[in-house]
Amino acid sequence: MKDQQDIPVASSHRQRPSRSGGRAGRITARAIDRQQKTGYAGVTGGTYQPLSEQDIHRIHATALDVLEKIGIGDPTPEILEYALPKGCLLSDDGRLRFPRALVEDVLARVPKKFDCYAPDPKHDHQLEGSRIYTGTSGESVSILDYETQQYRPSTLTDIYDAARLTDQLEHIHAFYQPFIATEYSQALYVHDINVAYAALSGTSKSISISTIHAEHVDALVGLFDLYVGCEGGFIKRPFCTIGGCPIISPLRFGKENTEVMVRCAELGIKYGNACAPQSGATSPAALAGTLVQCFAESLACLVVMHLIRSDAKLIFGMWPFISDLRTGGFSGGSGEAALVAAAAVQMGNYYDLVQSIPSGMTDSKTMDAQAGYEKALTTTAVALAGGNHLCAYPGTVGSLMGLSFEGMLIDNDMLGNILRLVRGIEVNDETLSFDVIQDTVFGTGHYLNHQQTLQLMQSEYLYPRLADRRASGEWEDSGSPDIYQAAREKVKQLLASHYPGYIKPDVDARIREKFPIKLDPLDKKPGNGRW
Amino acid sequence: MTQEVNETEEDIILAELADDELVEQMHDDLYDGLADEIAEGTQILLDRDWGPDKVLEKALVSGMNIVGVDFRDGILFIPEVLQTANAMKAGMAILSPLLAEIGAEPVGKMVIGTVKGDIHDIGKNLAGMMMEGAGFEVIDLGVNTLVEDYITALNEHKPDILGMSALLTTTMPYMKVVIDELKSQGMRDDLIVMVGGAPLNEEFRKAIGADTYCRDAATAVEVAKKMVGERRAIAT
Amino acid sequence: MSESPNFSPTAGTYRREGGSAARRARRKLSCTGNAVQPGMHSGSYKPLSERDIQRIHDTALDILTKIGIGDPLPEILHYALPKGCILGEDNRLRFPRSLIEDLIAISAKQYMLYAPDPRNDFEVGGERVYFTSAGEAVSILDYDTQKFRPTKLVDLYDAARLADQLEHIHSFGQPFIAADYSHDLYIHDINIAYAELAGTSKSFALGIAMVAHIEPIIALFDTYLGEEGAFLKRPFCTFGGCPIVSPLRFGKENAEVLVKVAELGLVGDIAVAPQAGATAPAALAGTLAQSFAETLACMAVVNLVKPGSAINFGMWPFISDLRTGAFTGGSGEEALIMAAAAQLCNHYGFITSVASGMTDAKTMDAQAGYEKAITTTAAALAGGNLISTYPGIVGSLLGQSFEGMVIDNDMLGNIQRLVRGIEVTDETLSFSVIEDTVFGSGHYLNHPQTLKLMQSEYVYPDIGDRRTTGDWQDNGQETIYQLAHDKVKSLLSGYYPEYIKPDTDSRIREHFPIKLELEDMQVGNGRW
Ligand code: B12
Repeated sequence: MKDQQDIPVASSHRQRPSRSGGRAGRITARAIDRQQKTGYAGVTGGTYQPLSEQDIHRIHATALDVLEKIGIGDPTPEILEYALPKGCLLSDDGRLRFPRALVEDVLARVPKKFDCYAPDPKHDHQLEGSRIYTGTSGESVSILDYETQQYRPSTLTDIYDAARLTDQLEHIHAFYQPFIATEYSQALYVHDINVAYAALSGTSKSISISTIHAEHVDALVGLFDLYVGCEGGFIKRPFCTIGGCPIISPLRFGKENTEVMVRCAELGIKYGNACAPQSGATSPAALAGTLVQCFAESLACLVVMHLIRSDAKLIFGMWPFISDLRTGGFSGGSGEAALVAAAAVQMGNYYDLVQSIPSGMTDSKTMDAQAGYEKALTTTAVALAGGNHLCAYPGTVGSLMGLSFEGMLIDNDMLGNILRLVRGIEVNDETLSFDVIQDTVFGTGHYLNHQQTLQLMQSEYLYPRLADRRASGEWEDSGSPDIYQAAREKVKQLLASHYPGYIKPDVDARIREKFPIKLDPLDKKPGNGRW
Repeated sequence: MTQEVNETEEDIILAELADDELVEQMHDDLYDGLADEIAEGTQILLDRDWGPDKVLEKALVSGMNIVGVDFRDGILFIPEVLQTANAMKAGMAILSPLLAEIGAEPVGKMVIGTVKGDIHDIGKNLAGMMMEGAGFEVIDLGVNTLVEDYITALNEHKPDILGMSALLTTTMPYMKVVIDELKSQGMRDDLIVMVGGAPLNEEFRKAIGADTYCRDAATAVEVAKKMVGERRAIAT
Repeated sequence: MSESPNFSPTAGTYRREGGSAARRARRKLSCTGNAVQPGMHSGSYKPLSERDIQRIHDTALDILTKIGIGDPLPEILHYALPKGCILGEDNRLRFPRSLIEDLIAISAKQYMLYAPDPRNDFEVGGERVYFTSAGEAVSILDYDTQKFRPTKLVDLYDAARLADQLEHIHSFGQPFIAADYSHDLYIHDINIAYAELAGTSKSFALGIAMVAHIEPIIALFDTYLGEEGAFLKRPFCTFGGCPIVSPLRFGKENAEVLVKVAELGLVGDIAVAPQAGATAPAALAGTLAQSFAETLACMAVVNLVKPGSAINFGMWPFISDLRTGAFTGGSGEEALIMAAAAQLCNHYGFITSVASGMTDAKTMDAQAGYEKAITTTAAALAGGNLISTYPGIVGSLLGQSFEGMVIDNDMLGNIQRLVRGIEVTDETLSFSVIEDTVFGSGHYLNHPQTLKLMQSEYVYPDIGDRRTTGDWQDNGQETIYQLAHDKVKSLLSGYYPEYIKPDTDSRIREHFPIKLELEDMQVGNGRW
């Protein structure tokens, strides 16, 4: 509490010489403490290790066999141009095979950490080791409409609103395009530009956009340069990552996405590959086999990026998916999904790669108890395993098909709990508390008003925003609301008020001059009728 | 599971079973996905002077009905259903040429493909294989299928059904491109156009002018059988 | 399967085993396949470093030697003083370091937890994980009114019947009290024993606070078994409570039970639950040190009574919400500290008993889901042997929901799958399967490996919804809660196991004041 002296105290009625503090001081202190919760960004995982060393080596060795003997099909001309001179082989069956030594070499050389910039530098962070940052992730096609509570196709304003929400949620550290602006599905240039614009309008956290057109990457850079205010400005602090699925499992390159990846490597833009083979459908039903294939596929991306540019930044994305073999459907919320993703994280960490990992992809269609437990168990597993960029899919429901704003808020609390878990327990002379125990046993008999309790009550404990911890009676008296209802009120409150002016009017005008911006300026102000 | 079945396999000599017992055994064998046994049984029935159309109807198609029911009830899992489809295919391989010879109508024919720009094929593969399981002949055009490729295949194979799959909002509208082209080439009315994929819905089907939207592969099989039947009834 | 040959309905000839009927029968036998089993090996999550463990251990021993445990009962002193424990003038019992270390060494590291039905017996030890329900809530979300009301004896019987059918709840700890008999604890205790015995054949536990009730309950079990002394040979029930009043004092009644149980050679079942910030330090490490010391003291007691005693090492550090001082069971801190406790206790080979699933949500909403999942995932991955997962318990341990039990059962299945981990062998690495597929059909859906593994590699939820969005929309847009609500009815309306045979039942009723009406134990009781 000492270092609050310089904090401007909320205005009190009467100016009098006084000790800093009192009620006003406390209120300020609490507000600051709330912000300090963002201190949970970047906690270190890695305490959960589902695989043994030997397992890791065997998966590694088999993946290298796969790359050497089976290779990746349908390499694009750009890839061949970069890969063949470096010793990759194109065989008669049109598959690109990667020599072992090359892959090992690349694994040893790729950058092991890099900065993840944000439009506002206070949200910059460094991706490395087993430090964790969370983000929204995409790309759903529908939203559980706030008013009707029915699914409807997602739109551009929804993306803008999701960005504004993320901006205010302390346990979601980055904004990755959570859904599609379906009204522009047929105009992909307009689509991609507007998604970027909507994201930048709504949040100052690090963003990510998905595009399947390599030319759009250049266009986006142009947009970002305007936003930053100088040509070449973006690439100095690239606050946007491009993401996609360059691999079509099993073991083939997908043309458009691969072109995007190659373009990002050339330009020096961070690229996140999501290699998502689905066990039993596009990868083996044996989870170990799925890991092998998924690792091989992601390594292929890593090698390609590296051959193009040795400082290329790939967020290594092993995203092993699970099928429900009763129907063949995709199941995102299962125990198997949690397990195989955590194992993937461990693989990535073993080679010290900067990686992304999905979680929270519940199969429930609504934010019910199933959504809660599926999101929690998958996210807990991967967070403890220490995946750097945790695509936790806050608010996403229905096996990635839809998103709920209420869910984003609920998940924000859940992510807080999980990050707290990951942070772990600091064990030292002071925290072991022998003296505190002794004091108490021979003193008051309880710790509630012990000095240590006062000192630690905010730093050792995290307080949720919405999660109900009231006594049952109090809860009943207030109408027995479930967390969904609490979230509904809060969504309204957060979205009705937060219209940040991240894009300054003059910049906005310049952007609108050059790009087909569709987000109505009126929709970016209070009183738009939406909230 | 298959092991247990195999243990007793030696005990049964299909050729020694009476017709009705053999048919019943074939129903079970279909169910258990025993392709060799189905081929054998099919041949035995043919040798006993059953017409290919009767074999198809009595031994195979009616045997598959229970498969659909048990899949729906969660008794059979998808890999098992695909085994049954495989067994069905083994029978069909023998029957198809014979059916053609006698001019009997085959169950039906389908051309299927994931549309241009889209590489999602798990659902499309499933739908295709389930259709094969029901006795349809399926021509799979793979992924990223251009309108020209659809047209070429339709002209070549003259199917009853055109199936299109799309998983992306960005590629779904391409189905309309294909349908419009069918119309302009005067082919639309010769075909049942069936569409599927996670983001689709009934509304979208109407908007693009397809005949049916099927949420899953099992429904697709039911609907396909029904619609092909109806069309034939009208035709005659 | 092979004992029941399949007859062709038309002719009398043998047919091959198989077809729909056989498959249906088989799926019914193993609805979730064999992907998970009770007692899977765990421990791959280690929140503490070796050094952390050593330091917590040292501090705990310091606490036991220097601060000791207050209010020791005469029974405890009787066993403890001759072995070198010291009673201070402050009436605190101090345990010498070397004594504790000796007792740690001799305390049972592996033992059987029997069940009424031997098929449900299991051996605890190592880092094998079992899930149990636990108590003792006082209210229940009434099935019909969906409002909380006090729990009744008949609810306990119903809860036992429900748990009996939920495969991921491996043993049944009394989830709530029978509030209708709380005015007469003898009747209460006898009847909860009867209700659990009548409803489940899984191993079960009773929270008994009166040492005098143990012998009558054992007599009841002997009557059930038909032979005096039979229960003690295969004790299928544990008696337990909270023998420690934190910080660092014995609680009289529960400590008496602990001593008695040890004297009888039964497994001690305890929960030592100091609450960080209230009855333990706000520093989590300090709470670990204190609760480890407290649990060690209980372990010492039973081993002083009888060397080599078995005790479920119930180190249950709880968390306060320091805004209000209330207990918060669903917090991230709770998940963390419980997992640390599991790791710590496993380090010494104890049979680690920890708690999870103690959500603060009042209803089975998304909060309940995520709080239960985070805490249970952490505890299970850390290798807790007996995890009281509180299936269906909401409201910070105050209320029971039957719907919640069914929902949690699915969750527990998923978590078990996570615990099982990934087998890495030549076969599972699947190189040749991948090769086959890439150069063959291009997908794995009908590869023989997929067929072979579809049930052993994957767990399928019972009610967990995995339908497509469209399917869900067209079918009433039910939440998991609604699905669970229907499932509870279907599980409870027809399932009245006759674990207590009628003649045994009359003998029991002759000798004991059984309040559970026979009409309530059969179909048509109007309850379901
Ligand atoms: C697996 C998957 C992938 C795999 C595909 C592997 C493969 N070989 O198919 C990979 C990782 C490669 C992938 C890539 C991409 N994906 Co994808 N993918 C999925 C995922 C998770 C599951 C799809 C699936 O296979 N399900 C299982 C099958 C069995 O279900 P199904 O396809 O729905 O099929 C059933 C029915 O629909 C029906 N059916 C299907 N087709 C047909 C056809 C007929 C005729 C009939 C009758 C019935 C029928 O029967 C089937 C069985 O019952 C979905 C999310 C989801 N829940 O659907 C996202 C999803 C479809 N993908 C998505 C995206 C964005 C992409 C990418 C564009 C990502 C990127 N930026 O690169 C790329 C696509 C690139 C491209 N050009 O196509 C989005 C779609 C957004 C949108 N715009 O519409 C989704 C919704 C996920 C998300 N939220 O991000 N994806």
